[in-house]
Amino acid sequence: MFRLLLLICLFISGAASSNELWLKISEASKASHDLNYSGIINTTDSNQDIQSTKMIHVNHEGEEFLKIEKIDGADNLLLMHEADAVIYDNDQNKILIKKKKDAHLFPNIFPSNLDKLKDSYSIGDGGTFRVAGRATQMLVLSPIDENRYNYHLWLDKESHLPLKMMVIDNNKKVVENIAFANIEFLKSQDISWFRPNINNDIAYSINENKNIEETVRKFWTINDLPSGFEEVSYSAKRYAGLNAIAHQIIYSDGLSYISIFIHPVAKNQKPQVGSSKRGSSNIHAEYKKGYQILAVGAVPMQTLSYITNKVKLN
Amino acid sequence: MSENISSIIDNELKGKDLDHGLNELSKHSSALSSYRTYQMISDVMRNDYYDVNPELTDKIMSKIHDEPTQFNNGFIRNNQSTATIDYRKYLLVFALGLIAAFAISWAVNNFSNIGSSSSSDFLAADSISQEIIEDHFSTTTRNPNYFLEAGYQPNI
Repeated sequence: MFRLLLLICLFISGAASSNELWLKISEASKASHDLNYSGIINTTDSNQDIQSTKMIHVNHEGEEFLKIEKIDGADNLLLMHEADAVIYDNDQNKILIKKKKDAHLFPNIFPSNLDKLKDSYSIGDGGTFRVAGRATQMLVLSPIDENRYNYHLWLDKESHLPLKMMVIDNNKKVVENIAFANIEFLKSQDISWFRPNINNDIAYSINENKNIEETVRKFWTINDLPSGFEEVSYSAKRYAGLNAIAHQIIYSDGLSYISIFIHPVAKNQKPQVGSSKRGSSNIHAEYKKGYQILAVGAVPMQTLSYITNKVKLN
Repeated sequence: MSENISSIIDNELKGKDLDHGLNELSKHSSALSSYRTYQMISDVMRNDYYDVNPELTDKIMSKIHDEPTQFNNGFIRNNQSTATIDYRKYLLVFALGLIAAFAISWAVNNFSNIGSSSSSDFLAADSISQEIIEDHFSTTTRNPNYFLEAGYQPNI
């Protein structure tokens, strides 16, 4: 009887602890939108290449303004207001301006519906660590199955803002590592910095995102997706290199993203099958009924293979 | 006999005459030794010579024949003894090996073709459309560096 009571107490305390940790995720999500901060972000990919970007984020009267500049490599700049992003791509002697939408850039990495994460991940306390000179609590989001990777998050103890994130595959290899090298919390909501530095000696041109807006008849079905994944985005556009219209369907479980590309294979091109890797993402290709099916994502290869198998062309 | 040897070396004998000449040659050990010497000279002239002393050949071959033969399974056959080998066992292993080879070949051919075109290329990282990779990263990445690099898509 005593043992039973002890087990019940342990279960209740464990559940409360888990709920508390999920609450911290909720606070982290809110902090990434609401707070004003600037700093240097270092990203390390699976090849151990480190790139640095300088960022500033301000919530001005309820609207978010974000500016990110590359420190290494090309002198590229991103200005983002709410969901609208504009990239100034410095291509040596000209600047290409490109509009984009709905980016989930670190530290704003969480989905709008946080409860969705609970369907795919369990949460654990990883202990206390120091990141960018600040005390953080590490939270570990472990996948409930083998269709996704582990996410380690270091949350600032004072502000709850995520200061570091690591994605670790099922072989305990780091596939993605993003962290603040330093961070400063801003008291001012000033947004005078929210403009590009115009260089009159360089030509500017707009590189519009030419998505096909008309309603496209979906000639495919993808049923029985891996648990937790659902369609979050669809687009279609003509790819010059493929000389064809490709359809991109994005699936997500809230943290992991998978793109499925479907496009016809031209007569002078050979279809491709098999698996490969690019950066932090795996890639799996299949060929069905004259169409190339390509799955790309930072998830295990078997997840991509499973989904491409589930693509049925009508 | 030396005339016979010359005829054999020079390929002058054909058919039954050649059979007869070779039979005669095998009956006379000294003639056989002379034949080997002539053959060696002929080989040297044709740059086809391997350093073999005809006097040693018989001795070496005799020694090799007397050496025990070691098989992969550790079985040692003593060539000087009267021990007999059950060759049926090896025939069975050979037959099973053939069956296994056919089975593996069939499986590789069939399973590698599932869901693919017979004229498909195997996916290589470099052969994937750069536009597709960029679109994936620019729509899904959390990495600000990837997002900035994937912003430019030429010729669209």
